Amino acid sequence: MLSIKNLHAVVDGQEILRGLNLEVPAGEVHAIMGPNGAGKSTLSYVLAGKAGYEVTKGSVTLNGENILEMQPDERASAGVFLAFQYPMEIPGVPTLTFLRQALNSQLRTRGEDEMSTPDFMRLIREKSAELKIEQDMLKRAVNVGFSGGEKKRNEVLQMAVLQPKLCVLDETDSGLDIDALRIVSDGVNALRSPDRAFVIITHYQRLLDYIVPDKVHVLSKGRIVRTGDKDLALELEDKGYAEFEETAA
Amino acid sequence: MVAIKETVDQVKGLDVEEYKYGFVTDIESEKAPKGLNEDIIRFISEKKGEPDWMLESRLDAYRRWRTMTEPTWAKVDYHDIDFDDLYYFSAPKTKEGPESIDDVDPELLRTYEKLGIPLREQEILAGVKTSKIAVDAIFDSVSVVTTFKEELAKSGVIFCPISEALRDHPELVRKYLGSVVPVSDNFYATLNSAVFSDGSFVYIPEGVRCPMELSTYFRINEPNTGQFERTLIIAEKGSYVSYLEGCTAPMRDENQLHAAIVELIAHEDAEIKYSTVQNWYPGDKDGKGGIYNFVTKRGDCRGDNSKISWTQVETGSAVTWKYPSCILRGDNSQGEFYSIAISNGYQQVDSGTKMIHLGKNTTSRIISKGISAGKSSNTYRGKVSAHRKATGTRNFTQCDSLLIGDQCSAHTIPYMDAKNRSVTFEHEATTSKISEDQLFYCQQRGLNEEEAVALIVNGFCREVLQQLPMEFAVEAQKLVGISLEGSVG
Amino acid sequence: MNVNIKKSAAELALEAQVEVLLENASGGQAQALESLRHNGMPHRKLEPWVYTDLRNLVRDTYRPATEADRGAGDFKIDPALAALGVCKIVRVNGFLQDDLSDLDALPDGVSLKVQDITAGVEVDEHHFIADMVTAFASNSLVLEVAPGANVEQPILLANFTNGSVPVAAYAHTIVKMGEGASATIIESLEGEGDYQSSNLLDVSLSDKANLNFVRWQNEDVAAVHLALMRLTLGEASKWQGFTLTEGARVSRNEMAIRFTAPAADAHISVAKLLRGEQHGDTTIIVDHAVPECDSNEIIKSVLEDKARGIFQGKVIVRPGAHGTDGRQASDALLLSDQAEMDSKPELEIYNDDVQCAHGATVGEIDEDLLFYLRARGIPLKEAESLLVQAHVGGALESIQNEDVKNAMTGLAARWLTRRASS
Repeated sequence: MLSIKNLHAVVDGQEILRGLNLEVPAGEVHAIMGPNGAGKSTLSYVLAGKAGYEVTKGSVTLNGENILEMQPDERASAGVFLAFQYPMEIPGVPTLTFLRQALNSQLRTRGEDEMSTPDFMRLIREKSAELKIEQDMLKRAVNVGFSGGEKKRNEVLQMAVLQPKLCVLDETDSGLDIDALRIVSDGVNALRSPDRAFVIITHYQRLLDYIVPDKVHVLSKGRIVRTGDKDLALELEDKGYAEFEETAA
Repeated sequence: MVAIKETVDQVKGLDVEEYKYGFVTDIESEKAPKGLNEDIIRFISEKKGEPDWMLESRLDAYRRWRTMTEPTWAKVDYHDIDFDDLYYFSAPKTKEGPESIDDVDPELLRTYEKLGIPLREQEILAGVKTSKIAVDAIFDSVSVVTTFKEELAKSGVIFCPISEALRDHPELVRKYLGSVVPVSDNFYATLNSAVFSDGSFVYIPEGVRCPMELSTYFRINEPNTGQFERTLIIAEKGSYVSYLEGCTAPMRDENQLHAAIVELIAHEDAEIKYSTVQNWYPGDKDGKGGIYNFVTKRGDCRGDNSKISWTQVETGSAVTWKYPSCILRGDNSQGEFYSIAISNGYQQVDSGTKMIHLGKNTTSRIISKGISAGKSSNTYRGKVSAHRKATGTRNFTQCDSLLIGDQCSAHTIPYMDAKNRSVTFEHEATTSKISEDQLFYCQQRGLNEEEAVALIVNGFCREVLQQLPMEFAVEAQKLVGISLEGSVG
Repeated sequence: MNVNIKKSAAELALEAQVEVLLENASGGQAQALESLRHNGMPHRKLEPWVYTDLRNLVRDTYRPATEADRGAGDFKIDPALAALGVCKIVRVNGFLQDDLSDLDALPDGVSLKVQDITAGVEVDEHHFIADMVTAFASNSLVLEVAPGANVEQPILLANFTNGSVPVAAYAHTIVKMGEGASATIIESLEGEGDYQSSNLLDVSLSDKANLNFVRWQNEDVAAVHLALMRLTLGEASKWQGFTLTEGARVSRNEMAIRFTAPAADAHISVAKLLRGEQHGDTTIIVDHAVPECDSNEIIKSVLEDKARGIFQGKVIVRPGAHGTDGRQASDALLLSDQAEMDSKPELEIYNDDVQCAHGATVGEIDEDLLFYLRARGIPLKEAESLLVQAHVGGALESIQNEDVKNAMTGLAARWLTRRASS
């Protein structure tokens, strides 16, 4: 599924990722943990193709396809989904309109038929019910006036509707209370499937109680410095990141 | 929101910089000689078979115009107009006053077909989804056809070219023409008063709710020709009418002048809703050619509880100078102005409104959305005033500007004059840009850059788009996408 | 349209004065006089003066005041200001008064000198008020705060005009804040009688300088007061300006603020309290030509009787000024049927990387709030005063120095008390 080899990336003239290697096979959930400034968010933006995040070396392929050459929207159509740490507000554009346009754009780009309005509405009703999202929220402008929890649920709803191959969750647990965390995690877990991979970027172990990862990687100073199973997360929670900041130096 | 999807299709289906209404209709036309003098005015008046008083009024306007100078206060900059190098009258050669649609030159019908304007009543009737719209189609200086006249006449509504109204209803025209925009109002209005050619006349009798939307479609075809149309709408006590106008012109290298006057009169308890989608040719990517759109539009809420609402979507023209206004004379009368003005390339827009509160408890609302891209300049200029005796007056104004790119400019020039205590004026204005982060977010969900811009801008304009009648809203949303093509990246 | 407006008596008088002075003038003064001769008095056909038509508002142009016009007037510093322990610099009719000033006790880092008028006035652009002062003032007062000096004691620039005979007083002040210097300056403008006072203030802030500037305009209600402040801000400098306008029959307080280096910050607040037939014009032009500067304007007006308040604001953001944050907010309360407020808050934006907003409101006192207060037993006038005070409070808040803030709040309250007792 996702294969990252010797990835170097520069932001504002500073090298943030310095030879990152990561393999996430289909069907697996990998957590990336690390101290602040390790390059976690940079990794998510590099995968999604944000302007200003310049790859200087290395490769990223999704099912063998080089995604680094693609525009952000082409990556999205190829199956890359980024759940933003801070989802953007788009005044005046109803969430429903946005979702429908995104879905149909992706279908069109992939050469598939667009979804009819009744089918789309059915899909939305089903997915939003699972995430306990009120229909009223879907009529409001994208993320405008949403609470922190609503924004994150909206991200997961989009994920559920767009059915991506690779889901990158950037600090999805930040700003969530325990109830919201459970709803969001249930939503993510429901999407786990043999042909989908997850990269969960988080600073805290808490989220991993709900979304149990197959592997946990420690990212420090732009590289993966240790890989283990879910118990590694508990160990990090206990001991902190100090050790890795040393080793990476 | 089907329209957004359609915007996207439209954007995708078009080459950048293609102005889809830019074709020329190959038709023989009859013109008055170039230039302007009293003989030309006599020629126009005679062509139209006007009463003497109309000719006198035109000549009076012409003489006044000769003493006036062009206004320079607007934030627009354009080449001097040589008023002697223009044709002031141009009409397609055709049988005098076509009796029915079958008498209209097929080339003209094809033009309107290409523009998507339904002129054949039976086709409209046959259409299941399209609601009924009566159309007055104006081609250069004359009206070529007006549809649904008979059906409208059944409810007493008069909808016809103004030249016809001058012949058939001279007393009405004489009573109201120039009563809202006086002959010497401003340079372009005075010019129009001297040389106006055609335009629509609407009269809604007392208590009548006009049974269908009325619309006029303006088309400038001939080169070097000015279009000076004149529209007059009168809504008698307790009546209602919704009127739409659309405009396009071929792509030509030279600039063309369009100087219109629109006058609206709403009597007691009457309501007029006037919507415009203005898509005159904006000039090419280097700023060559395009329409000079210098228009005087004003509504008079003459009676108590009357209401006039202006909605405009301005995407075309090289230079726009236009301030649809309301004089709120009747007590409790209401004025509204909803505007989207988009400028791209080298377009210059100086537009806004005036709300003049004279009556008691009058209210007005202004929502203006200006979007500037490319190297364009976009100015909102507005005035809200409440006179001493206009107690209980309220106004709410919101004007937002959106900038796309770093070579365009946006200006906001509001005047608010409150002359009594019980006035409540609220004015808000913001300037912002489409943020990189917003664009990236949309792209991450699969929209390409142009789709993302169209989506965000349509969101920015939403409050105004909602004011348009359904058919126009769809058209307008498409235009928003098309006009901003090539503005990013 | 070519309309020739007939010259007013004030304009003719001004012309005569200009002609006389021109005979012996040279340099900047001559330029200013030429400009006055050429441009005459501003009128409503000129966009910046559309609401303040001096041709109509000014009846005469009085002769320039001389030192001798000081007379035996009583030039007492208002107790509210005196209580702040200020260092006084007093001018009467535009002339520095050694006997009334604390020239020997200037705070450390502060220096004061008097120099020839034309030495300190820029004449590259002509503005009526600047021209008037340059043409008719006899000298410039230069106040300098040394680099790095942190002046705690507030400095009071007190201006009195003795109008026992009709005179025109002209004052030019230059304030230079050295790099990293900080100070609090209070300027008071007072007088008695029917007079004209014109005030030109050139303030420059060097890099990282910080100036709190408070102005109290309490001219005689018979007077005409014209003021122009030209402010330039260096890198990362900070301006906190507050103006309380309550005097003069006709006043124009214009500020032209220019950022000359990035990351500077200008906060401008104005409280305007007018009654009778007063005409008070506040015009603020903020020019953002460099990146990352913030400007914030808060204008609170209260208008009673037949008073007319004007706010013209213009924020210009030039192509290079990315990261600009420019805000204007003007709120006016009309307390009587014949009061009038005219506002024109303009934005002129040539850069897409900006945050600009303006808001303007005009209205009367909120009936619901008034009712609520009265339902709690507060009499009408007092309830109104409370609400008006709350309104003005929005402008007073920005004054940094607590004591000065309290003093200005007290002066504003005094205006309200006069209202409540009338």
